[in-house]
Amino acid sequence: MNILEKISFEAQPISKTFTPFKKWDGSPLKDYSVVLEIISVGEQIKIGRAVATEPMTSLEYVMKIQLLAHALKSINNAPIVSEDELRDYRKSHKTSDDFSTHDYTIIFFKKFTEQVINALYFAYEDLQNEYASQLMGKPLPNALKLKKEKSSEVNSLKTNTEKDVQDEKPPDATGS
Amino acid sequence: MRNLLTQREVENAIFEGIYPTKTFRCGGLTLIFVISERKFPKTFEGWFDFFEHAIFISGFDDSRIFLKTLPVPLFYKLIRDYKEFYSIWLKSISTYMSDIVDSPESCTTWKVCQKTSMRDVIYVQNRLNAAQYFWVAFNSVQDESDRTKLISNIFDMLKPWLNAELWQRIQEEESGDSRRINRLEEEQINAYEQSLGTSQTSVVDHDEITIG
Repeated sequence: MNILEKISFEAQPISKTFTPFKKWDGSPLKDYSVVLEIISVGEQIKIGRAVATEPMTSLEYVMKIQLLAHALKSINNAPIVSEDELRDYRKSHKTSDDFSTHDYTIIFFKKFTEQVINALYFAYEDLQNEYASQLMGKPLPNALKLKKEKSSEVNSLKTNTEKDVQDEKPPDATGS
Repeated sequence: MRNLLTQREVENAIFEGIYPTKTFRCGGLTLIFVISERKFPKTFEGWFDFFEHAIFISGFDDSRIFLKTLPVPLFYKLIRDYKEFYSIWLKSISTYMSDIVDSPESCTTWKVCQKTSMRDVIYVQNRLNAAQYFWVAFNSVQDESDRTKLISNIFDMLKPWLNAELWQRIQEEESGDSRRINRLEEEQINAYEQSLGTSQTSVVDHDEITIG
């Protein structure tokens, strides 16, 4: 039995659909919708182990990528990595069978620019804040919501890099 | 949440080695917090290992399986709730300890501990738990205080033998002082009784007039 189902968190969504780029006018990513799910304790531990040896300079960025690789479930209602896509990648890059969907997802995320990663990460933070405030039965203190404000700065930083992002993105990954 | 645990729960921890527990519902599951003597971890993974000994879930033999699937914010809430429970536990120990140390059960156990080995009486898993640690400390301090009182009393008893003349003079001064104090008190009492007698007489006189 899925323990999360047994706990049955009514009115406390663990996953939610976001359109994180909706304010990016003129961008091809504008209407993209993503489904994010709150990561579990086991996944958090895996992330902790994965970033343990990272240098401080890149720690935050790598942690965001690792987190999103666990939290992002689909883009435009399609899975991020299909089985065929993974098989093709294994064949073309001659990787071992241990090369998992998660490993491929990490590569997928590393192709994104930091603005895209940040937009997705802030969407995840929104979901987590919403869940935490429902859990506590009261709104979170403002100190914990500071990062949200930065998302607007990220939107204003929107430049031509989005085009590059679109070019870099594997076509199948979007489900389009 | 209750402000304090009961005195019986603290006594159980000291004399039986049974730690207090707290039961609460989490969705459809019943979780049981148990006081653990391990230090609070500093890392996320450390807390995961810590809860293996501190949280039990009805229906699950291995709490790790359960904890691994919890959403991270809920896990942080568990950490917060556990810390709150632990602070209540420590507060309860400090509140009830002076009463517990004076109880007959505690006095007997402490005497037995002194005559035999503490290891045979209250040790749990070859070590003292936090409550037992405080209990031993409290009893030791009290023993020290009793010993100091005993020495002071013996010294008082010896004073006449050490310098009889000096002791007699001190005694006289002390009794003189007390006699003076007694005299003052007597005077005050007499004055009060006198005033009381006067007022009583006036009341009686007044009543007589009214009745007449």
